[in-house]
Amino acid sequence: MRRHIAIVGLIWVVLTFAGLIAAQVVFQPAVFSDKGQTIDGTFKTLLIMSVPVFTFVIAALGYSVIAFRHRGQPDEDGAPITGRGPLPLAWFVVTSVMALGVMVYPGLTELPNVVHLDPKPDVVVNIQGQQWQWSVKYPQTGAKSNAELVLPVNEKVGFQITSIDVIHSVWIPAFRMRIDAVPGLTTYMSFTPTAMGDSKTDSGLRLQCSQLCGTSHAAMFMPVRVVSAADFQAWQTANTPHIEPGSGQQLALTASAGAAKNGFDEKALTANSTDNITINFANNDPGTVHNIAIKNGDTVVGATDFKPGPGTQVLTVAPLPPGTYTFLCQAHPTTMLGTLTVK
Amino acid sequence: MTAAAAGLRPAPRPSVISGFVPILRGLLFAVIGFGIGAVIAMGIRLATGAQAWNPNETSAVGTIPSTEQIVTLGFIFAVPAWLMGVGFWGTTVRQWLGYKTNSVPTDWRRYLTTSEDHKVIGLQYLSTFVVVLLVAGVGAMLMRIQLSQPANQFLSPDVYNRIMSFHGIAMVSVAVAAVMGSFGNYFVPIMIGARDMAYPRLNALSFWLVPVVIVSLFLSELLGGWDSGWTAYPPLSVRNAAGQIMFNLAIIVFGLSSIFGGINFIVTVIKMRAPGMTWGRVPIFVWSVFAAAFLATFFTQFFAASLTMVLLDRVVGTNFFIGQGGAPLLYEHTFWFYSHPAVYIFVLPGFGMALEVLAHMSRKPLFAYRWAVAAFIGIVGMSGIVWAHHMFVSGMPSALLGPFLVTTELISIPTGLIFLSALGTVWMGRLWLTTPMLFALGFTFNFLIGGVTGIFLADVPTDISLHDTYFVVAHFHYTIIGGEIFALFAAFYFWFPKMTGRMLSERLGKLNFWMMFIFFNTTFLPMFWAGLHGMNRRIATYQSDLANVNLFISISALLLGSSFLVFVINVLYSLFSKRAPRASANPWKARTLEWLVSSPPPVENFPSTPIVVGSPYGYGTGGRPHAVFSIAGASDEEVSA
Repeated sequence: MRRHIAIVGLIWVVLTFAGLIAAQVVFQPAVFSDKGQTIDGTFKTLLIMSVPVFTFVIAALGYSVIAFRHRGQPDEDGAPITGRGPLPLAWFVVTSVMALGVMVYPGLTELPNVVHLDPKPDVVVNIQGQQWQWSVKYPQTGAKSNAELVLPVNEKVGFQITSIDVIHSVWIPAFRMRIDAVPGLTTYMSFTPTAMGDSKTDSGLRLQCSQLCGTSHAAMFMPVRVVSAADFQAWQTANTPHIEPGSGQQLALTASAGAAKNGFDEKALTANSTDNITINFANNDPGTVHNIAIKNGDTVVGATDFKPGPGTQVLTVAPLPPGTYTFLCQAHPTTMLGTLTVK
Repeated sequence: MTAAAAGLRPAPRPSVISGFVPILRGLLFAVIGFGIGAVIAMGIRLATGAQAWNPNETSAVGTIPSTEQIVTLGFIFAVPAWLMGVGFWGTTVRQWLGYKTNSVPTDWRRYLTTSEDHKVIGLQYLSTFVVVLLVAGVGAMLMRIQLSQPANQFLSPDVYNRIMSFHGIAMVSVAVAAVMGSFGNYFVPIMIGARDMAYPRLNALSFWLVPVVIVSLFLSELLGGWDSGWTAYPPLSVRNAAGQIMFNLAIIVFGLSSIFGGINFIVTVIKMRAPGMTWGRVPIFVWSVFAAAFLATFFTQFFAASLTMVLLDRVVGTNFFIGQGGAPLLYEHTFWFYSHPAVYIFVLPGFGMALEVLAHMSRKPLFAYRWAVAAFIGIVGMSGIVWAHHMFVSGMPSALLGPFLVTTELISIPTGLIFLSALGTVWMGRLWLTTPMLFALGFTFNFLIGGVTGIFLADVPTDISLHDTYFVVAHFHYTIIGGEIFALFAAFYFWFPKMTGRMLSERLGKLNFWMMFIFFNTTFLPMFWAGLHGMNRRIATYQSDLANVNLFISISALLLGSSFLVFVINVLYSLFSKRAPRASANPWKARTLEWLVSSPPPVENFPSTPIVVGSPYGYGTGGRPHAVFSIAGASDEEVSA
């Protein structure tokens, strides 16, 4: 018995050393945020803490299978050890202390460092999810994009996230950060990007939907780029639409009561390609939430916020190239829609 | 099998068709019931001024599709009609009405109607869920073929999502019912010395609701299937194809079946134990089923309620989860309030099964039996306060993160006691490395990996990064396949001789185990790595830098799939070959009650009520047997093992 215990102890020590060396292998890809570094550190800590537990069971189980195996049917029974002594109590105490330990460190001690929200971020970004694309807005400057998320390096970024249809989830693997985008709810997340990079060199720099959201869920991602402060300013300027609200050609659009089923009163609008386009949308559907949006294929050109009727909403977009577009209410995309023809 | 039996009898052999009459009648009744419900639904629509049925309607938000209303009411009428047709009219309702009841046949045809014998019901569950396991496994193979390379065109994203959703719920139903429904039903009454379950008729009802579930999930494809996974979160599950309602209706029925089963096990274990079967002598597998039965009885209704609310949002136009005032997080809370305890419904019987086999095959008393029982009770007690660890990134208040981190990591303490029991049992034993023993040892190894990786997901900081990635996929497959399905196979190889009177080939069994064990690990271990490197779950395609690891996983998965063919060949050979060896009453020389009777056991289980006089695990003590029969003229030694 004593010899068996000694051998298992030796195997355990050897396996634990081997495991701790193996745990030094970098399991995580490159990380691009301060909180991501904390998360990777927590992962490493847990990995190191779990090695002796794992190797203890492997040593005891593996040794038992090899040392106590019997060819064919055993002719006699094993030792009648029932485990009524103090050993189970000792096991219970030791495992409880271990569980409480891992709960406190790194669990509860690192938790606030990761979920803490910065009350005064340097940059605010609004992210909106919809089936199946992301759009980002920078309320401090008015910049917006459906093509990429651009962030400045070493500045605190605060995100405000929502969805207009189903639950999505904002996940940027290189930052290690994630929070769901829930319709009817705004969720928050903040961190500081710590290195520059883009999705061409690191596929982890992408804004990926990670909550199943329907057919094209897998393809619902947008490139992420971390740039210098100067490049960030330049990008924002280039992506801020300079449109005087209400300017250009004036088009009228009306939704009467029951529009969710019957659609807009107008089914087709026409404009020319030389001037800004303004849709003056009269929502006369009491109590029902609508908005007005213009889409080019699947890309949203412009959209207003959702508001219940009665009320007026004004949507102004920059001149559009000639072609056929869709105008619609994004709350009722299959019934409330029509064709906008630009000549 | 039947030919030999019929040859001994003068009575003419029943035709094969006659055996299927109850099922065909049930299907006919179901169609008629569906028609009645559909007509009522159309009538209500007409009475309220709507069109009876509009097959060309759009599924825009704010509209209520007539097809879904008609199908829902049709379904509600079809289920009781099916039950009447398949046998409950003849055996049960006629009795209530004071008529003479129809008797259930005693030959093979009893497996195809509402037999109330727990052994028949156990085999009905087993054969049904082995088929579901294999079909859902084919779904997994299709998914892995799609994922063998990035941007693969093998399946469209929509078809992939539908197969993934079907695979998920079909495997969850296997996990809920395969061990408890089949081996629980067959062996719990025998292991406690009872003649049957406490409520045999309720038991039959539990089983005959199951075909409704499976058929409905397939019929869902006629309505466009559903693509919201087994979790079916709204608003997606309120806005997707009409097939979603068949999922909701099916799983509500499955919940009903699960609750009936749970009540039955609780009452059976409390009230039906043989004389002398004190709580300290109850075999550990019985304890585990007893514990899981409490979870099934008390938590299933929360899932059913949340599915009902989604259904009402679709067919009645309520706004539990959509529109203004709709609360999607409400569903996540109620869903996980069941579905986290559900993982213990999966794995508790797996624990019990593995410990049972380890004790008998190590020829040793189960180590720290009382602590293992306490661990089961601890898991049951704590399972209801950990659900929100599935929601760390859902947007729920961050004040809830710490408490759920704490409760989740507390539950590792009782789980650790199971490992104590397993390790203490094999320590200094005489290990008989039969196929069931190999599966029980494989269970211990796999569940260790599943348990250790669970710590990374219980810890909020790491979960924020790992949530909804392949790390999670790997983790729960380690606990469910590596844990419960390995225990299911241990149980199958352990008890197959008892149920059929035939031995399985040990050579094929060991080949089955080693293929499954090796390819299971080569399939799922790399998934941890893929998850860490940015592969999220439930996706039909992925970033191209993950191509190599996915190709490796796909090849391993197909090899893992092939190991199930070895299992099928082994079972078919044993059942149908004349050369397959017959099983003695106690081929494993085990001590529990089922091994004291013939293989297969007689209809009434025992020649007389057994009297339990000792521990089921009294190996090496040279002391008392577990039980004796008080048959006149026979000494205790002759009738006990």
